[in-house]
Amino acid sequence: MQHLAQWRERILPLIETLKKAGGTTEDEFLQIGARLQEFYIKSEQCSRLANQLVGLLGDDEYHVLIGALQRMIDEMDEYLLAARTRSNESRETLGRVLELLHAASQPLEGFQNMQKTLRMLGISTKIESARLGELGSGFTILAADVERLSCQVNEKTGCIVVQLKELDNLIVQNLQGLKTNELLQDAEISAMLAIAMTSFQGLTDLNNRCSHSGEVAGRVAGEVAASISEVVSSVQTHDSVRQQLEHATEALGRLVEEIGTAAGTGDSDETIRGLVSKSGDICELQVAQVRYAGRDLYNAVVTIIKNLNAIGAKQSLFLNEITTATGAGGTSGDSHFSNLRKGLGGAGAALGNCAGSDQKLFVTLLKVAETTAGISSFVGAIEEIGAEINLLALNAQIKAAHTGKDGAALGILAEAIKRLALEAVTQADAMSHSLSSINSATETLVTKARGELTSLGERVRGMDGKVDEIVSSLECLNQSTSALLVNLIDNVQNLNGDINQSTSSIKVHDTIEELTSQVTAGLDEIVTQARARVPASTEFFEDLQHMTSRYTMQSERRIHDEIARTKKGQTEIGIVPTLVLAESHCESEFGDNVDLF
Amino acid sequence: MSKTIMTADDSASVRQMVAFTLKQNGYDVIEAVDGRDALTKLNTQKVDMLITDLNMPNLDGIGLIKGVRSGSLNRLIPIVMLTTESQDTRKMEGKAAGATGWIIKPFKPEQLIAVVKKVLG
Repeated sequence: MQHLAQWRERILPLIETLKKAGGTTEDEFLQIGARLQEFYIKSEQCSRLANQLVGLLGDDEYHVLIGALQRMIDEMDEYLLAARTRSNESRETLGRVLELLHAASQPLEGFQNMQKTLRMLGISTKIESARLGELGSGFTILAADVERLSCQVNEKTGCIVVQLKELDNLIVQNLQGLKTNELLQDAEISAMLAIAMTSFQGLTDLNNRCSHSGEVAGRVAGEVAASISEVVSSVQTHDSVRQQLEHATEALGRLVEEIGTAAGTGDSDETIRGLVSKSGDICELQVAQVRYAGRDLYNAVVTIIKNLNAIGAKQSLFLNEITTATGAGGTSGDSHFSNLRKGLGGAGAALGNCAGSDQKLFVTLLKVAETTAGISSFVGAIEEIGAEINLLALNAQIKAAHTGKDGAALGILAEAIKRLALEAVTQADAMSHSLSSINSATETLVTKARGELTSLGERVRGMDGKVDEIVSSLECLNQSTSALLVNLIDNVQNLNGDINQSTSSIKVHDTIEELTSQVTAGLDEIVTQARARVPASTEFFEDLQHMTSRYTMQSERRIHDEIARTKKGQTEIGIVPTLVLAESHCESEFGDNVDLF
Repeated sequence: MSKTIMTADDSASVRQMVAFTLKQNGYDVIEAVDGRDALTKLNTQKVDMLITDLNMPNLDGIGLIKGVRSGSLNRLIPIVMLTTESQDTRKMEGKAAGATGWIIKPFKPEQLIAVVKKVLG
């Protein structure tokens, strides 16, 4: 009886330890629950920021801007192509003008020869009229007129030569400058558009990567929800463990009471033997219950810590995904935007230079037209001089005829002058024709250019404006995403810091493990002593079956069942079927632990 | 307008998890620490649903269900038991008292929400 009393004294502090283990952990679990809510809110905030970020770079506005950029780059390409077509046309025309100028200069030699001949004829007329004396006096005036007119032809021809040379120089210089400029402009535009295209591709890739991040966002949200679900579920373990420990406390309390009652009544040896056996049975069973309860709670807390850390880890993972997608800290996005502005701005400026070259060409064409008109007026003057000489020669012929035989030589001179005058008219006609062709070619181009240049200038300015608008919108978007990214990084770091701090301070499972170990160690001693006095009998198995009805929780009955199996060494008898019959598995649409009536 | 659900449980941490799950999904939550506390509150306040534990001090879950069903203000609301107990006899007892459903602890948040949505229509 003495040992029973000792066991009683040993069990009483163990009961207190169990009460402590079951009753003092609530606050710590409440704290975990409160932190869970905090982490949930912060995690939601991280997810919201991440989704906003992904949304910004993957949404319609971004697509619209990317599309507008693509159209802008296409428009610049088209503009350049049109500018080059126009420029080729102008070059061809100027080349043709150059040929026409050469053709137009052919009659000039004739004019120069004609002027020399006229001068000689004038001198001859003067000599002949001097020889005739009185009879040739009228021819002296003719000689003076012919000389004056030949001087005029010389003067006009000189002007034409100078202007033709100027025109030739102007066109040759323009053609050379145009080609050089075009090559430079083409190289510049190609380089700028290449920069813009690289950045454009970068932004398109960024957009695609962010769309992928959107999918990751959904997966991360699901995984965070799963972790939260695990924590919610594990926190509840505290309730079932508390009840298990309470039930163990109650069972041990009843045993202590029974031992106390037996000590007071001085029972027989057989009764004492039965009580020893029962003490062993109850203590062995409670060791199992307490050990399993402690392990359940320990595992639940480990699961809680693991899943709380997982919430932070998932958000960090997503943050990494986003920073990779947007470039380290969003900087690659920055470089895309700055390069895009540089590329498109540069291409716009180069296209502006193209428009400038077009303008210069237009001025040249105007100058060609103007100079050609000037030359035409000189040619017209030569033609008039030719007609005048022709008239003078006709008068001289008539006069020579009236002079009779003595005027025969003068008649021949007048005839020669008349022929030259007619030739002058013919040469002037030919030159007029060439000049008219030049006029016609330049006039068509000038008319076309005059209309196009205004609209092209406006188009280039319009493109500049659009580029500025699009890139500014993209930069604005980039600023928003950068700000969001900074905010997101802060939030995720903050969340992780909080979680780490919180999980590292969770010690409740260690406390419970220590307390339950104390209890199981104490009870194990009693079991060993009890079994040494009275070995476990088949009655234990029957007692276990009897005790099953006291357990309301599935987990407790499972432990009970395991001990029964250990003791009996078989499963077909007794408790296991009883347990199976006692519980129904409700395979509802909500899970096997839910039953809707 | 959001629906109001009462959770009655003597375990503060379980009440906390139920409230967290429900609030997260847009429900208003009233907490009661045991059956008597729940019944007192339910006599003066209209709720849309009751989620109650079975074993509680002062008044247990079965007593609470009977009290609610015999009252007037909330007698027709769905009542779901949320308990560690899994015995069929207890379930039948709950059903006979007027319980709408039975969830064995621990619950998963998505399960609880699915059940709530189902019973609230």
